[in-house]
Amino acid sequence: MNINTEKKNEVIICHIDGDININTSPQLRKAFEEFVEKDMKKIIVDFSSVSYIDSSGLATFIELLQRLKKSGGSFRICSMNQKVKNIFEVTKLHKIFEIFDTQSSAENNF
Amino acid sequence: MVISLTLPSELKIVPETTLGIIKKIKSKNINDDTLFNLRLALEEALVNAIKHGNKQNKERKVIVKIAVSLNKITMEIKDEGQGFNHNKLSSPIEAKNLKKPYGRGVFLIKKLMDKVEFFDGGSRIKMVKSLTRRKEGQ
Repeated sequence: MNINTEKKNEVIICHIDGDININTSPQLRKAFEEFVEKDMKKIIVDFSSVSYIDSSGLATFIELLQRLKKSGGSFRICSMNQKVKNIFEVTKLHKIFEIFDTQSSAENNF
Repeated sequence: MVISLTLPSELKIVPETTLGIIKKIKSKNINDDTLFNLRLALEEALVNAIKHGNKQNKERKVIVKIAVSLNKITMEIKDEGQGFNHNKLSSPIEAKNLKKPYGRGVFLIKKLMDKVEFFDGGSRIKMVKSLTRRKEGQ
């Protein structure tokens, strides 16, 4: 899995490329911790190149949500493929995350 | 097709092992949605067996048996732990549990598979999925 970030104004856009699983979740968690430590409060996670996520990956996003909430920040998820989206829907996590079809719609929502 | 494996209790081997199995199954013309669900259920079951069953004790093994027939796939995972009562697991989709990071593995398995049974006090899980084949050219 590769993680590339770009900054657009005050929004950090995190592009993830690859599977989010028990081996790659720690790398993602570390990246998210750095965002929080650097006081980045607006984050968009781009799922367009994510084809797989397991429960450890879901846990990583819930932890990010909780940490950002404590620090007054928030994040959006965008561009999920249907299979990955289905996992968020089956687990009802689409109710607690802000999920957008496109990156631009996520950007406009901040 | 029958696949039998004995795995060491190492979490890091789970994704690669699962992908290897899915690659073999893929040759049976199974559609992508089913393959995705099989992969996730298998990975969650293996992680549970290694992490919660065998407590990552490298001397303990995980036995995997997979049988693919014309209409269904059966995946059995057996660990050397003490088992657990799957009926006592709390539902991760209840409002009070929704924001808890963990506790979704067995729930996902039950949702993604057509039939899930536990044996030997919970140390053996049997998952069955009906198969939908890809049409020619897909």
